[in-house]
Amino acid sequence: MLDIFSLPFMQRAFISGLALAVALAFLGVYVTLRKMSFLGDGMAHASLGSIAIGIAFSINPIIFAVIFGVFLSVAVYLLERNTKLSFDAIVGIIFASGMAVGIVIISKMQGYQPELIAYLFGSILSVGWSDMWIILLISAISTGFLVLFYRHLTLLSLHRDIAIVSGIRVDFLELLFTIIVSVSIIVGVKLLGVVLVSALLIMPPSISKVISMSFRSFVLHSILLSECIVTGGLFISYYFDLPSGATIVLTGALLFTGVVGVRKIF
Amino acid sequence: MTKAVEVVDLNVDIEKESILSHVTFDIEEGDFATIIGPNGAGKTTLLKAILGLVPIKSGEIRIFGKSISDAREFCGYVPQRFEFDRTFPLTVEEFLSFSLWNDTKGDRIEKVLEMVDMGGHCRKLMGNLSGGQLQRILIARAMINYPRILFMDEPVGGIDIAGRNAFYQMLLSMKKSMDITIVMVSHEVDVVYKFSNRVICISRTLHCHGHPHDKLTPQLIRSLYGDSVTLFEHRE
Repeated sequence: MLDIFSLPFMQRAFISGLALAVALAFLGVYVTLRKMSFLGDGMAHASLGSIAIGIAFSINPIIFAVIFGVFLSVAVYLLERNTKLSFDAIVGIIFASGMAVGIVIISKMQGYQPELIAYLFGSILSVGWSDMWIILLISAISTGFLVLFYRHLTLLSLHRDIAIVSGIRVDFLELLFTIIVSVSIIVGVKLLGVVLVSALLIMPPSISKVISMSFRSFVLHSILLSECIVTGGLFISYYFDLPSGATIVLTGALLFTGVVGVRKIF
Repeated sequence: MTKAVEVVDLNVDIEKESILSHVTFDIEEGDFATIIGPNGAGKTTLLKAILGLVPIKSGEIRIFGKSISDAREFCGYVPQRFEFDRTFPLTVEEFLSFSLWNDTKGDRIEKVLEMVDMGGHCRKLMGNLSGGQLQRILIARAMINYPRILFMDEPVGGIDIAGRNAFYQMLLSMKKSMDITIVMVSHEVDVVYKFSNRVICISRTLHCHGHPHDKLTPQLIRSLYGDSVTLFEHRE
Protein backbone atom coordinates (compact mmCIF):
# COMPACT_ATOMS: atom_id res chain seq x y z
CA MET A 1 0.00 0.00 0.00
CA LEU A 2 2.69 2.50 1.04
CA ASP A 3 4.98 1.73 -1.91
CA ILE A 4 3.54 4.92 -3.38
CA PHE A 5 5.72 6.92 -0.95
CA SER A 6 8.93 5.16 -1.95
CA LEU A 7 8.84 6.73 -5.39
CA PRO A 8 10.71 10.08 -5.51
CA PHE A 9 8.26 11.63 -8.00
CA MET A 10 5.36 10.73 -5.72
CA GLN A 11 7.19 12.18 -2.71
CA ARG A 12 7.66 15.44 -4.60
CA ALA A 13 4.03 15.35 -5.76
CA PHE A 14 2.72 14.87 -2.19
CA ILE A 15 5.03 17.49 -0.62
CA SER A 16 4.23 20.10 -3.31
CA GLY A 17 0.53 19.30 -3.45
CA LEU A 18 -0.02 19.32 0.31
CA ALA A 19 1.97 22.54 0.83
CA LEU A 20 0.16 24.40 -1.92
CA ALA A 21 -3.19 23.00 -0.78
CA VAL A 22 -2.77 24.81 2.57
CA ALA A 23 -1.98 28.14 0.92
CA LEU A 24 -4.72 27.93 -1.73
CA ALA A 25 -7.39 26.80 0.73
CA PHE A 26 -6.56 29.66 3.12
CA LEU A 27 -6.41 32.18 0.25
CA GLY A 28 -9.65 30.73 -1.10
CA VAL A 29 -11.47 31.79 2.08
CA TYR A 30 -10.79 35.43 1.18
CA VAL A 31 -11.16 34.94 -2.57
CA THR A 32 -14.71 33.63 -2.05
CA LEU A 33 -15.53 36.25 0.60
CA ARG A 34 -14.33 39.05 -1.71
CA LYS A 35 -16.04 37.43 -4.73
CA MET A 36 -12.73 37.35 -6.60
CA SER A 37 -12.93 33.75 -7.83
CA PHE A 38 -12.36 34.86 -11.41
CA LEU A 39 -8.90 36.20 -10.46
CA GLY A 40 -7.66 32.64 -9.93
CA ASP A 41 -8.96 31.41 -13.26
CA GLY A 42 -7.77 34.54 -15.06
CA MET A 43 -4.23 34.47 -13.71
CA ALA A 44 -3.88 30.74 -14.38
CA HIS A 45 -4.90 31.15 -18.01
CA ALA A 46 -2.88 34.33 -18.48
CA SER A 47 0.23 32.50 -17.21
CA LEU A 48 0.18 30.23 -20.27
CA GLY A 49 1.72 33.04 -22.36
CA SER A 50 4.62 33.58 -19.95
CA ILE A 51 5.14 29.82 -19.55
CA ALA A 52 5.38 29.48 -23.34
CA ILE A 53 7.90 32.37 -23.48
CA GLY A 54 9.91 30.72 -20.68
CA ILE A 55 10.02 27.43 -22.58
CA ALA A 56 10.91 29.20 -25.86
CA PHE A 57 13.88 30.99 -24.23
CA SER A 58 14.90 28.04 -22.03
CA ILE A 59 14.16 29.92 -18.79
CA ASN A 60 12.47 28.00 -15.94
CA PRO A 61 8.84 28.52 -17.05
CA ILE A 62 7.45 28.66 -13.52
CA ILE A 63 9.96 31.26 -12.30
CA PHE A 64 9.31 33.35 -15.43
CA ALA A 65 5.53 32.99 -14.99
CA VAL A 66 5.76 33.99 -11.32
CA ILE A 67 7.72 37.16 -12.14
CA PHE A 68 5.30 37.95 -14.97
CA GLY A 69 2.39 37.20 -12.63
CA VAL A 70 3.59 39.88 -10.20
CA PHE A 71 3.56 42.43 -13.04
CA LEU A 72 0.09 41.30 -14.15
CA SER A 73 -1.23 41.60 -10.58
CA VAL A 74 0.08 45.15 -10.30
CA ALA A 75 -1.49 45.90 -13.70
CA VAL A 76 -4.88 44.51 -12.56
CA TYR A 77 -4.66 46.53 -9.33
CA LEU A 78 -3.73 49.80 -11.07
CA LEU A 79 -6.27 49.39 -13.88
CA GLU A 80 -9.06 48.72 -11.39
CA ARG A 81 -8.27 51.91 -9.48
CA ASN A 82 -7.52 54.20 -12.39
CA THR A 83 -10.14 53.23 -14.96
CA LYS A 84 -13.88 52.71 -14.87
CA LEU A 85 -13.47 49.07 -15.88
CA SER A 86 -14.79 46.39 -13.55
CA PHE A 87 -12.47 43.88 -11.89
CA ASP A 88 -13.97 41.03 -13.95
CA ALA A 89 -13.49 42.92 -17.23
CA ILE A 90 -9.82 43.66 -16.46
CA VAL A 91 -9.08 40.07 -15.44
CA GLY A 92 -11.02 38.87 -18.51
CA ILE A 93 -8.83 40.95 -20.84
CA ILE A 94 -5.61 39.72 -19.21
CA PHE A 95 -6.96 36.13 -19.16
CA ALA A 96 -7.67 36.10 -22.91
CA SER A 97 -4.53 38.02 -23.93
CA GLY A 98 -2.15 35.80 -21.95
CA MET A 99 -3.83 32.66 -23.26
CA ALA A 100 -3.64 34.01 -26.83
CA VAL A 101 0.11 34.69 -26.50
CA GLY A 102 0.56 31.10 -25.29
CA ILE A 103 -1.40 29.64 -28.22
CA VAL A 104 0.53 31.71 -30.80
CA ILE A 105 3.87 30.63 -29.35
CA ILE A 106 2.77 26.97 -29.13
CA SER A 107 1.82 27.05 -32.81
CA LYS A 108 5.35 28.16 -33.74
CA MET A 109 7.29 25.79 -31.46
CA GLN A 110 7.80 22.43 -33.08
CA GLY A 111 8.35 19.64 -30.56
CA TYR A 112 7.46 21.63 -27.45
CA GLN A 113 3.71 21.07 -27.57
CA PRO A 114 3.70 18.10 -25.11
CA GLU A 115 5.45 20.22 -22.47
CA LEU A 116 2.94 23.03 -22.95
CA ILE A 117 0.03 20.61 -22.91
CA ALA A 118 1.34 19.39 -19.54
CA TYR A 119 0.98 22.95 -18.23
CA LEU A 120 -2.51 23.15 -19.70
CA PHE A 121 -3.82 20.12 -17.78
CA GLY A 122 -1.19 19.79 -15.06
CA SER A 123 1.44 17.20 -14.38
CA ILE A 124 1.97 16.81 -10.67
CA LEU A 125 4.00 13.67 -11.22
CA SER A 126 6.58 15.54 -13.30
CA VAL A 127 7.33 18.11 -10.59
CA GLY A 128 11.13 18.33 -10.32
CA TRP A 129 13.13 19.20 -7.22
CA SER A 130 13.52 22.85 -8.28
CA ASP A 131 9.77 23.11 -8.95
CA MET A 132 9.08 21.59 -5.56
CA TRP A 133 11.28 24.15 -3.76
CA ILE A 134 9.61 27.04 -5.63
CA ILE A 135 6.17 25.70 -4.67
CA LEU A 136 7.25 25.26 -1.03
CA LEU A 137 8.67 28.80 -0.91
CA ILE A 138 5.59 30.43 -2.44
CA SER A 139 3.26 28.36 -0.24
CA ALA A 140 5.21 29.37 2.88
CA ILE A 141 5.14 33.07 1.89
CA SER A 142 1.38 32.94 1.14
CA THR A 143 0.50 31.11 4.35
CA GLY A 144 2.79 33.37 6.39
CA PHE A 145 1.15 36.46 4.88
CA LEU A 146 -2.30 35.15 5.78
CA VAL A 147 -1.32 34.20 9.33
CA LEU A 148 0.13 37.70 9.85
CA PHE A 149 -2.68 39.66 8.25
CA TYR A 150 -5.83 37.52 8.58
CA ARG A 151 -7.53 39.93 11.00
CA HIS A 152 -6.86 42.97 8.81
CA LEU A 153 -7.74 41.07 5.65
CA THR A 154 -11.06 39.88 7.08
CA LEU A 155 -12.01 43.38 8.21
CA LEU A 156 -10.98 44.78 4.83
CA SER A 157 -13.00 42.11 3.03
CA LEU A 158 -16.08 42.89 5.13
CA HIS A 159 -15.97 46.69 4.90
CA ARG A 160 -13.24 48.78 3.29
CA ASP A 161 -14.14 52.06 5.04
CA ILE A 162 -14.16 50.43 8.48
CA ALA A 163 -10.72 49.00 7.70
CA ILE A 164 -9.41 52.44 6.69
CA VAL A 165 -10.75 54.14 9.84
CA SER A 166 -9.21 51.31 11.87
CA GLY A 167 -5.83 52.40 10.51
CA ILE A 168 -5.30 49.46 8.13
CA ARG A 169 -3.18 50.28 5.06
CA VAL A 170 -5.82 48.97 2.70
CA ASP A 171 -4.16 49.82 -0.63
CA PHE A 172 -0.96 48.03 0.33
CA LEU A 173 -2.88 45.04 1.70
CA GLU A 174 -5.09 44.72 -1.39
CA LEU A 175 -2.09 44.90 -3.73
CA LEU A 176 -0.19 42.33 -1.70
CA PHE A 177 -3.24 40.04 -1.60
CA THR A 178 -3.72 40.25 -5.39
CA ILE A 179 -0.03 39.45 -5.97
CA ILE A 180 -0.05 36.53 -3.53
CA VAL A 181 -3.22 34.97 -4.98
CA SER A 182 -1.81 35.30 -8.51
CA VAL A 183 1.60 33.88 -7.69
CA SER A 184 0.15 30.97 -5.68
CA ILE A 185 -2.16 30.10 -8.53
CA ILE A 186 0.67 30.29 -11.06
CA VAL A 187 2.92 27.86 -9.16
CA GLY A 188 -0.10 25.59 -8.93
CA VAL A 189 -0.30 25.47 -12.72
CA LYS A 190 2.55 22.96 -12.74
CA LEU A 191 0.52 20.68 -10.46
CA LEU A 192 -3.03 20.95 -11.73
CA GLY A 193 -2.73 22.85 -14.99
CA VAL A 194 -4.06 26.15 -16.27
CA VAL A 195 -7.55 24.76 -16.66
CA LEU A 196 -7.95 23.07 -13.27
CA VAL A 197 -5.78 24.88 -10.73
CA SER A 198 -8.37 27.39 -9.53
CA ALA A 199 -10.45 24.44 -8.27
CA LEU A 200 -8.14 24.18 -5.24
CA LEU A 201 -8.83 27.84 -4.52
CA ILE A 202 -12.62 27.54 -4.72
CA MET A 203 -13.66 23.99 -3.77
CA PRO A 204 -12.27 23.66 -0.21
CA PRO A 205 -13.73 26.95 1.11
CA SER A 206 -17.01 26.27 -0.70
CA ILE A 207 -17.36 22.90 1.02
CA SER A 208 -16.10 24.29 4.33
CA LYS A 209 -18.64 27.13 4.28
CA VAL A 210 -21.47 24.60 4.33
CA ILE A 211 -20.24 22.88 7.50
CA SER A 212 -18.59 25.71 9.51
CA MET A 213 -20.08 27.70 12.37
CA SER A 214 -17.25 30.19 12.89
CA PHE A 215 -14.47 31.86 10.90
CA ARG A 216 -11.84 29.81 12.72
CA SER A 217 -13.54 26.53 11.79
CA PHE A 218 -14.15 27.85 8.26
CA VAL A 219 -10.38 28.28 7.73
CA LEU A 220 -9.40 25.03 9.47
CA HIS A 221 -12.03 22.94 7.65
CA SER A 222 -11.04 24.52 4.38
CA ILE A 223 -7.37 23.58 4.85
CA LEU A 224 -8.22 20.08 6.10
CA LEU A 225 -10.56 19.45 3.17
CA SER A 226 -7.96 20.72 0.74
CA GLU A 227 -5.38 18.28 2.15
CA CYS A 228 -7.91 15.43 1.88
CA ILE A 229 -8.73 16.35 -1.72
CA VAL A 230 -5.06 16.39 -2.78
CA THR A 231 -4.17 13.20 -0.85
CA GLY A 232 -7.26 11.33 -2.02
CA GLY A 233 -6.80 12.50 -5.60
CA LEU A 234 -3.15 11.45 -5.72
CA PHE A 235 -3.89 8.01 -4.27
CA ILE A 236 -6.75 7.39 -6.71
CA SER A 237 -4.76 8.65 -9.69
CA TYR A 238 -1.79 6.42 -8.75
CA TYR A 239 -3.72 3.20 -8.15
CA PHE A 240 -6.19 3.63 -11.01
CA ASP A 241 -3.63 5.12 -13.41
CA LEU A 242 -5.61 8.31 -13.99
CA PRO A 243 -4.38 11.85 -14.77
CA SER A 244 -3.45 13.33 -11.38
CA GLY A 245 -4.73 16.92 -11.85
CA ALA A 246 -8.13 15.88 -13.12
CA THR A 247 -8.45 13.18 -10.45
CA ILE A 248 -7.70 15.69 -7.66
CA VAL A 249 -10.37 18.04 -9.01
CA LEU A 250 -12.89 15.19 -9.37
CA THR A 251 -12.17 14.11 -5.77
CA GLY A 252 -13.01 17.67 -4.71
CA ALA A 253 -16.18 17.66 -6.80
CA LEU A 254 -17.24 14.36 -5.26
CA LEU A 255 -16.62 15.68 -1.74
CA PHE A 256 -18.53 18.87 -2.54
CA THR A 257 -21.51 16.91 -3.87
CA GLY A 258 -21.46 14.57 -0.87
CA VAL A 259 -21.21 17.32 1.78
CA VAL A 260 -23.80 19.58 0.16
CA GLY A 261 -26.10 16.58 -0.36
CA VAL A 262 -25.77 15.40 3.25
CA ARG A 263 -26.38 18.93 4.59
CA LYS A 264 -29.49 19.23 2.43
CA ILE A 265 -30.88 15.96 3.75
CA PHE A 266 -30.03 16.62 7.43
CA MET B 1 -13.49 73.25 26.06
CA THR B 2 -11.34 71.03 23.80
CA LYS B 3 -12.32 70.99 20.15
CA ALA B 4 -13.15 67.44 19.13
CA VAL B 5 -13.59 68.31 15.44
CA GLU B 6 -12.54 71.45 13.58
CA VAL B 7 -13.49 71.88 9.93
CA VAL B 8 -12.17 75.02 8.23
CA ASP B 9 -13.21 76.12 4.73
CA LEU B 10 -13.70 72.55 3.51
CA ASN B 11 -14.24 71.97 -0.21
CA VAL B 12 -14.90 68.53 -1.66
CA ASP B 13 -15.36 67.71 -5.34
CA ILE B 14 -16.35 64.28 -6.64
CA GLU B 15 -15.76 63.72 -10.34
CA LYS B 16 -15.43 67.48 -10.88
CA GLU B 17 -18.78 68.19 -9.23
CA SER B 18 -18.70 70.34 -6.11
CA ILE B 19 -20.30 68.36 -3.26
CA LEU B 20 -19.26 70.58 -0.36
CA SER B 21 -18.09 74.17 -0.56
CA HIS B 22 -16.65 76.48 2.09
CA VAL B 23 -17.87 74.43 5.06
CA THR B 24 -16.59 75.66 8.43
CA PHE B 25 -17.73 74.49 11.87
CA ASP B 26 -16.45 72.88 15.02
CA ILE B 27 -17.67 70.31 17.53
CA GLU B 28 -16.63 70.40 21.17
CA GLU B 29 -15.56 67.43 23.22
CA GLY B 30 -18.58 65.77 24.85
CA ASP B 31 -21.05 67.04 22.24
CA PHE B 32 -23.76 64.90 20.67
CA ALA B 33 -23.63 66.51 17.23
CA THR B 34 -25.98 65.66 14.40
CA ILE B 35 -25.36 66.49 10.76
CA ILE B 36 -28.68 66.99 8.97
CA GLY B 37 -29.75 67.97 5.49
CA PRO B 38 -31.89 66.78 2.57
CA ASN B 39 -30.99 63.84 0.34
CA GLY B 40 -27.89 64.58 -1.73
CA ALA B 41 -26.87 67.42 0.59
CA GLY B 42 -23.41 65.98 1.16
CA LYS B 43 -23.92 64.71 4.74
CA THR B 44 -22.23 61.37 4.18
CA THR B 45 -19.50 63.02 2.11
CA LEU B 46 -18.84 65.44 4.98
CA LEU B 47 -18.53 62.58 7.47
CA LYS B 48 -16.29 60.63 5.09
CA ALA B 49 -14.13 63.71 4.48
CA ILE B 50 -13.66 64.16 8.24
CA LEU B 51 -12.62 60.49 8.47
CA GLY B 52 -10.27 60.71 5.48
CA LEU B 53 -12.40 58.34 3.38
CA VAL B 54 -12.84 60.77 0.49
CA PRO B 55 -10.15 63.16 -0.78
CA ILE B 56 -10.73 66.84 -0.07
CA LYS B 57 -10.09 69.60 -2.61
CA SER B 58 -9.05 72.18 -0.01
CA GLY B 59 -9.57 73.12 3.59
CA GLU B 60 -8.45 71.82 6.94
CA ILE B 61 -9.84 69.08 9.20
CA ARG B 62 -8.54 68.40 12.70
CA ILE B 63 -9.70 65.80 15.21
CA PHE B 64 -8.59 66.65 18.74
CA GLY B 65 -6.07 68.99 17.12
CA LYS B 66 -4.56 66.29 14.91
CA SER B 67 -4.89 65.28 11.28
CA ILE B 68 -7.07 62.20 10.73
CA SER B 69 -4.07 59.97 9.98
CA ASP B 70 -2.71 60.79 13.45
CA ALA B 71 -6.10 60.68 15.16
CA ARG B 72 -7.37 57.22 14.11
CA GLU B 73 -6.84 55.83 17.61
CA PHE B 74 -9.42 58.34 18.90
CA CYS B 75 -12.08 57.43 16.33
CA GLY B 76 -14.83 54.83 16.18
CA TYR B 77 -16.93 54.57 13.01
CA VAL B 78 -20.34 53.06 12.23
CA PRO B 79 -21.02 53.10 8.47
CA GLN B 80 -24.38 53.79 6.81
CA ARG B 81 -24.54 50.36 5.24
CA PHE B 82 -22.88 47.13 6.22
CA GLU B 83 -23.68 44.73 3.44
CA PHE B 84 -21.88 41.43 3.70
CA ASP B 85 -22.34 37.85 2.64
CA ARG B 86 -24.70 36.63 5.39
CA THR B 87 -23.70 33.04 4.70
CA PHE B 88 -20.11 33.85 5.71
CA PRO B 89 -19.52 31.93 8.97
CA LEU B 90 -18.28 34.65 11.32
CA THR B 91 -19.24 34.89 14.98
CA VAL B 92 -19.88 38.17 16.77
CA GLU B 93 -16.85 37.52 18.98
CA GLU B 94 -14.58 36.97 15.97
CA PHE B 95 -15.89 40.08 14.23
CA LEU B 96 -15.19 42.21 17.29
CA SER B 97 -11.80 40.63 17.97
CA PHE B 98 -10.61 41.51 14.44
CA SER B 99 -10.98 45.18 15.36
CA LEU B 100 -9.03 44.99 18.61
CA TRP B 101 -5.65 46.66 18.29
CA ASN B 102 -3.90 44.02 20.32
CA ASP B 103 -4.57 40.36 20.88
CA THR B 104 -5.16 40.64 24.63
CA LYS B 105 -8.94 40.43 24.48
CA GLY B 106 -9.57 40.04 28.20
CA ASP B 107 -13.22 40.74 28.87
CA ARG B 108 -13.30 43.75 26.52
CA ILE B 109 -15.59 42.04 24.02
CA GLU B 110 -18.17 41.04 26.64
CA LYS B 111 -18.02 44.55 28.13
CA VAL B 112 -18.77 46.34 24.85
CA LEU B 113 -21.51 43.83 24.08
CA GLU B 114 -23.16 44.55 27.43
CA MET B 115 -22.79 48.27 26.74
CA VAL B 116 -24.99 47.87 23.65
CA ASP B 117 -27.40 45.46 25.39
CA MET B 118 -26.09 42.47 23.45
CA GLY B 119 -24.43 40.56 26.26
CA GLY B 120 -24.34 36.80 25.70
CA HIS B 121 -24.32 37.10 21.90
CA CYS B 122 -20.60 36.26 21.48
CA ARG B 123 -21.14 32.92 19.77
CA LYS B 124 -23.97 34.07 17.51
CA LEU B 125 -23.29 34.18 13.78
CA MET B 126 -23.20 37.66 12.25
CA GLY B 127 -25.41 36.44 9.42
CA ASN B 128 -28.19 35.48 11.86
CA LEU B 129 -28.52 38.93 13.46
CA SER B 130 -31.53 41.17 12.86
CA GLY B 131 -31.04 44.70 11.47
CA GLY B 132 -31.24 46.25 14.93
CA GLN B 133 -28.89 43.68 16.47
CA LEU B 134 -26.37 44.15 13.65
CA GLN B 135 -26.43 47.89 14.22
CA ARG B 136 -25.69 47.40 17.92
CA ILE B 137 -22.82 45.07 17.07
CA LEU B 138 -21.43 47.70 14.70
CA ILE B 139 -21.50 50.21 17.55
CA ALA B 140 -19.86 47.68 19.87
CA ARG B 141 -17.16 47.20 17.23
CA ALA B 142 -16.65 50.94 16.91
CA MET B 143 -16.33 51.19 20.72
CA ILE B 144 -14.01 48.21 21.16
CA ASN B 145 -10.85 50.31 21.46
CA TYR B 146 -12.59 52.88 23.70
CA PRO B 147 -12.47 55.80 21.24
CA ARG B 148 -12.88 59.44 22.31
CA ILE B 149 -15.22 60.18 19.42
CA LEU B 150 -17.82 58.04 17.67
CA PHE B 151 -18.84 58.83 14.08
CA MET B 152 -22.09 57.28 12.84
CA ASP B 153 -23.70 57.54 9.41
CA GLU B 154 -27.49 57.15 9.66
CA PRO B 155 -27.17 54.31 12.16
CA VAL B 156 -30.91 53.54 12.42
CA GLY B 157 -31.47 52.92 8.71
CA GLY B 158 -32.74 49.35 9.06
CA ILE B 159 -34.50 49.68 12.41
CA ASP B 160 -38.26 50.18 13.09
CA ILE B 161 -39.62 53.15 15.08
CA ALA B 162 -39.82 51.31 18.42
CA GLY B 163 -36.31 50.02 17.93
CA ARG B 164 -35.06 53.50 17.07
CA ASN B 165 -36.08 55.00 20.40
CA ALA B 166 -34.45 52.14 22.29
CA PHE B 167 -31.37 52.57 20.12
CA TYR B 168 -31.03 56.28 20.88
CA GLN B 169 -31.61 55.68 24.60
CA MET B 170 -28.85 53.08 24.53
CA LEU B 171 -26.61 55.59 22.72
CA LEU B 172 -27.26 58.30 25.32
CA SER B 173 -26.55 55.95 28.20
CA MET B 174 -23.34 54.78 26.49
CA LYS B 175 -22.29 58.37 25.86
CA LYS B 176 -22.81 59.17 29.53
CA SER B 177 -20.94 56.14 30.85
CA MET B 178 -18.06 56.38 28.36
CA ASP B 179 -17.87 60.18 28.23
CA ILE B 180 -17.46 60.26 24.47
CA THR B 181 -18.25 62.73 21.70
CA ILE B 182 -20.81 61.57 19.14
CA VAL B 183 -21.06 62.84 15.57
CA MET B 184 -24.01 61.39 13.71
CA VAL B 185 -25.47 61.86 10.25
CA SER B 186 -29.26 61.74 10.27
CA HIS B 187 -32.20 62.84 8.19
CA GLU B 188 -34.57 62.78 11.20
CA VAL B 189 -34.98 66.34 12.44
CA ASP B 190 -36.91 65.17 15.55
CA VAL B 191 -33.88 63.14 16.63
CA VAL B 192 -31.81 66.30 16.68
CA TYR B 193 -34.27 68.00 19.04
CA LYS B 194 -34.51 65.01 21.34
CA PHE B 195 -30.93 63.85 21.64
CA SER B 196 -28.40 66.33 20.24
CA ASN B 197 -26.90 69.43 21.74
CA ARG B 198 -25.33 70.53 18.47
CA VAL B 199 -26.64 70.52 14.92
CA ILE B 200 -24.80 71.02 11.66
CA CYS B 201 -27.16 71.78 8.75
CA ILE B 202 -25.72 71.00 5.36
CA SER B 203 -26.96 71.39 1.84
CA ARG B 204 -23.78 71.41 -0.20
CA THR B 205 -22.75 74.33 1.98
CA LEU B 206 -23.19 75.06 5.66
CA HIS B 207 -26.64 76.47 6.52
CA CYS B 208 -26.25 76.59 10.28
CA HIS B 209 -24.43 75.11 13.23
CA GLY B 210 -25.09 75.49 16.91
CA HIS B 211 -27.69 74.40 19.47
CA PRO B 212 -30.73 72.81 17.76
CA HIS B 213 -33.29 74.88 19.69
CA ASP B 214 -31.58 78.08 18.59
CA LYS B 215 -30.75 77.17 15.05
CA LEU B 216 -33.53 74.92 13.74
CA THR B 217 -36.06 77.61 12.93
CA PRO B 218 -39.02 77.09 10.56
CA GLN B 219 -37.26 79.38 8.07
CA LEU B 220 -34.12 77.25 8.16
CA ILE B 221 -36.11 74.03 7.73
CA ARG B 222 -37.84 75.53 4.70
CA SER B 223 -34.53 76.68 3.23
CA LEU B 224 -33.12 73.16 3.66
CA TYR B 225 -36.09 70.98 2.71
CA GLY B 226 -38.36 73.31 0.69
CA ASP B 227 -41.55 75.29 1.38
CA SER B 228 -43.75 72.19 1.81
CA VAL B 229 -41.93 71.16 5.00
CA THR B 230 -42.78 72.73 8.37
CA LEU B 231 -41.97 72.01 12.02
CA PHE B 232 -44.60 70.66 14.44
CA GLU B 233 -43.83 70.64 18.13
CA HIS B 234 -45.15 67.62 20.05
CA ARG B 235 -46.54 68.44 23.49
CA GLU B 236 -45.62 65.77 26.02
